[in-house]
Amino acid sequence: MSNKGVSLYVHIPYCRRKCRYCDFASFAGRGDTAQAYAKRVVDELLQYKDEGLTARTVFFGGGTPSEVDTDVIKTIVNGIKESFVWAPVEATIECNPCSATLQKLTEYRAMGFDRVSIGVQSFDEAVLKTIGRVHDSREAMDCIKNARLAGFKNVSIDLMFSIPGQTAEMLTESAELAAELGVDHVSVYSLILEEGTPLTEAVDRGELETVGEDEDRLMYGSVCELLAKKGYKRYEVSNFAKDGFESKHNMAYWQRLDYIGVGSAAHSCYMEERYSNPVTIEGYISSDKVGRHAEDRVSLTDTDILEETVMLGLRTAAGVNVKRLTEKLSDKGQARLTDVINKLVNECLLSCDGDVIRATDKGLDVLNRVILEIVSAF
Amino acid sequence: MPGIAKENIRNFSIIAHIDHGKSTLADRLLERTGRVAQRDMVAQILDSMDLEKEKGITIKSRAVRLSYTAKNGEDYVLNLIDTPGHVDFTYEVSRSLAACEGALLVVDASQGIEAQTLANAYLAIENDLEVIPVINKVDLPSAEPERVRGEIEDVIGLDASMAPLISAKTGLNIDDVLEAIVNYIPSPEGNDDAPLQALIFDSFYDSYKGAIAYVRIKEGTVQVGDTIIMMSNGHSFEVTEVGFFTPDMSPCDVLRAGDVGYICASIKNVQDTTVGDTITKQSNKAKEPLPGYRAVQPMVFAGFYPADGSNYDALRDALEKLKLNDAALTFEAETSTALGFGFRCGFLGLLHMDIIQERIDREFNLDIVTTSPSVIYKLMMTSGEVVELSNPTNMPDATLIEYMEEPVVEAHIMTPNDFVGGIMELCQDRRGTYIDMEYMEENRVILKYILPLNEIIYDFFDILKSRTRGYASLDYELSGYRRSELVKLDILLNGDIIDAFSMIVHKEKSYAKGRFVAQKLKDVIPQQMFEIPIQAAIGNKVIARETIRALRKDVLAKCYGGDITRKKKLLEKQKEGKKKMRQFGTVEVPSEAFMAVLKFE
Repeated sequence: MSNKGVSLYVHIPYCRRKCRYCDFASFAGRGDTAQAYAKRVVDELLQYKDEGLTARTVFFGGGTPSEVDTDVIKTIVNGIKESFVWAPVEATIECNPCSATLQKLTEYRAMGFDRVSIGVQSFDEAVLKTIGRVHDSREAMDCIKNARLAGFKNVSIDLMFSIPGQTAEMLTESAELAAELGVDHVSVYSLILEEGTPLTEAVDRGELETVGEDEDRLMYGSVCELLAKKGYKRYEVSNFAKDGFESKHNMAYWQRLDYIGVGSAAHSCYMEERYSNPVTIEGYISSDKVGRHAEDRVSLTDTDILEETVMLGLRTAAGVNVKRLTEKLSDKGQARLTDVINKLVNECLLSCDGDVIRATDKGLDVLNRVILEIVSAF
Repeated sequence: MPGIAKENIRNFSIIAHIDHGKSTLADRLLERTGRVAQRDMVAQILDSMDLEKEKGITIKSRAVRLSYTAKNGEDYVLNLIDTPGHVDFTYEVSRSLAACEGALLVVDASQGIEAQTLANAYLAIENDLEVIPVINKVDLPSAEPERVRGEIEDVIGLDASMAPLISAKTGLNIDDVLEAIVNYIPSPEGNDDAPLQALIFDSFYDSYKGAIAYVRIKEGTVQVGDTIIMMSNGHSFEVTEVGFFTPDMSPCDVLRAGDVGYICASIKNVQDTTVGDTITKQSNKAKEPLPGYRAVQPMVFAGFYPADGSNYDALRDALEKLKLNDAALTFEAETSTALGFGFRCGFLGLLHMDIIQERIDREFNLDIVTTSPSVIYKLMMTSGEVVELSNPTNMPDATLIEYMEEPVVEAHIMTPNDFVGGIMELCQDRRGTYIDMEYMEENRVILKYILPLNEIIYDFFDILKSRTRGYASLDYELSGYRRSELVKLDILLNGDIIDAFSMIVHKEKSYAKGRFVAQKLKDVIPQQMFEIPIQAAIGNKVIARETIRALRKDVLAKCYGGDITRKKKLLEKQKEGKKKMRQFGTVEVPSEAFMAVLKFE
């Protein structure tokens, strides 16, 4: 048995109510199916039992994992232990401030989770209202404190920006409060107005005004600056951590390490194949086209792998080692790549340090274009 | 169907204004004569190009042989030659008509006679065809068949008393049409024993059979094994196949005088089946060719460039193939500093250009970039020389030009009189000169204007349609040249002139046009990583200026739970988009920008 390490993602698709911006695979008011769902997840995990894999990192995301009864989580954790060697260097569970009680948090800790990621989004009441979160800022602060009380030494929160009505000050105030509360890790996401969400519809009706590109960049710049001052390093476009608190699970995505996603809508990248599960809860529970039997299962080509390496790696402060690219390219391709890299360095979009290329601050703002330029050279 | 007597053959076309139901009537005739089983019936069956079905228009002529047993008990062969309806394709219509003895003139029972109805009817009458009016769409609530019948008699001067009242859509009275064809259209003349004279009315390239000539046999016969001669150039070929269209090609033993069919003779070179040429036989040569068609003059010119420079030869090949059955298309090699090697192509009009462009894209899978369409200007040089200019880039220094002339057309616009004011305003705005207004009937008029061709090729027709809620129709004919104050408008991106955007405009309109183009380019050129100034200039004088701001943000938020599909999709989309970009110095310009700047208003 190889005892190979993988990252394991478990999707918990339940929410108390759907946030106004959310187009993720989450469903409100469907808690009655949670037990059946957990059983199906355990079943899916069995697909990997004979592989002899170690769960190197574990991440329970959603939806809202803290929304379901703890025995649902417990069932799945036991399922993991049945099919994998449970030896995570990091085990995260996502929580919502209003459902993650001290009781629940204590139980998570006892199950072996050592990191919580709390969907705070903002400490500003008006902003929380705009995006339709069920909690208020008081509950968010309490949740962080309770996580510490429950014994979590690694606490992360999510913050959002570019929310209609939000200013750069509101954002930095939230980040400053997070620093004061001593969280170890902050994810900062720019709101994407997804088609069909109530928030987008409100914008389309003219009830809300979108945040412009300039304001968006101003917000991002100021939050980066503030977090840096407070000792949080940006190790990925949207992720900031105190030294040693970078999320090992998320880094697996950026570095293209093997990861297995179980549960509805979960995506896997395992043995250079990508596949994903049915999106709805019912679809997932009833279908046998799940996990490695998924209909969309594809083997990645060399070009796919090269593109992904650039697309994901350039998001990180670690950057991309050019040697990993050139060894797979023809002489012509190598020459084209060198030309493009030189051009991008001259435009101050990339920096080059030995064999490693990294996106500059300016490059990160327009990262999609930088990636496009590079992959067009392959 | 061997042995059918010449007396029982009818060769006819259907002519109509666009949207009056020509293709639907053709579908019904095919269905009714059992040519196509109902289950295989698809709408617009003769319009085999996807493009034709999508646009709801006929672009190419096509032929089909129908068998019909008439009420008199006799069997007839009816050869239907389908024709295009748009003003750009009048030339194609005249080709088809030369192969027929009669034509069905389809008129919409509510719309009545339109500009194209009139133009086509006169074309048919000039060709000595028997014209049978057919009043279509009588099932519509707004139909006024009797009013339209009167209009046909008053305006065109045709006897419409026997005009079938039909609905091609529902199939109502289709038999009346078939009977009218049999009863009113004369059978072909011609002698099987005379020397062969076969008129090429269309041609088509097949990669297995070579160039195929669509012919009307006027005199004589032709069969497999015959050595045929193209009378225009004397080239000879051995016939490998002759046949009819059913509508697919079905081989037969022999084509006789009066027949419509096709001839294959392993003809490699597409120029050897020139439309309008006469085919005869080596063994018994005709003394002279049939009268050809009036030579068609392209009126609109634009540069076509391969989006990917390495496809230059492929583009030439595509143009050659298209030219085979599109005599109106012309092209010659040219170069552009912005776009590299390409071709200056000549077209009948903008729709024709659009269609050629789309066919190159679809049938040959080639991405191309087109430059601003232009007409042919005449430059009277100070030296006394007269220079013809179809590419604005080649405009000589203004000090060397005494004056310039531009082509003008005589336009006939048919419209309900409610819209006369709006149309006159439009024509005025387009530098038109009013000639005349005639009442066709109580509330419909024909407006006649002289208009500069370069004012109507881009979007005149669209605007005319929208200002008249679709009621007005247009027909025009080149009427000569007129002296005019014209200037060359240049567009600069990031300080460099992009020659492909240069255009010749009237001096009075240059400011508005310059502002419009600069604004339009600002809209269609995506933000790039640096600021891009756009300028419109006449000579050294900048008359309009816009700036595309540098892109501030293009980055995606997290990939949740390792789902990178969104990122991959975006990257694929951006890769596709990048392929359609042309690099001008440091600026990337999407191919569609070249057409986008044309739609003025």
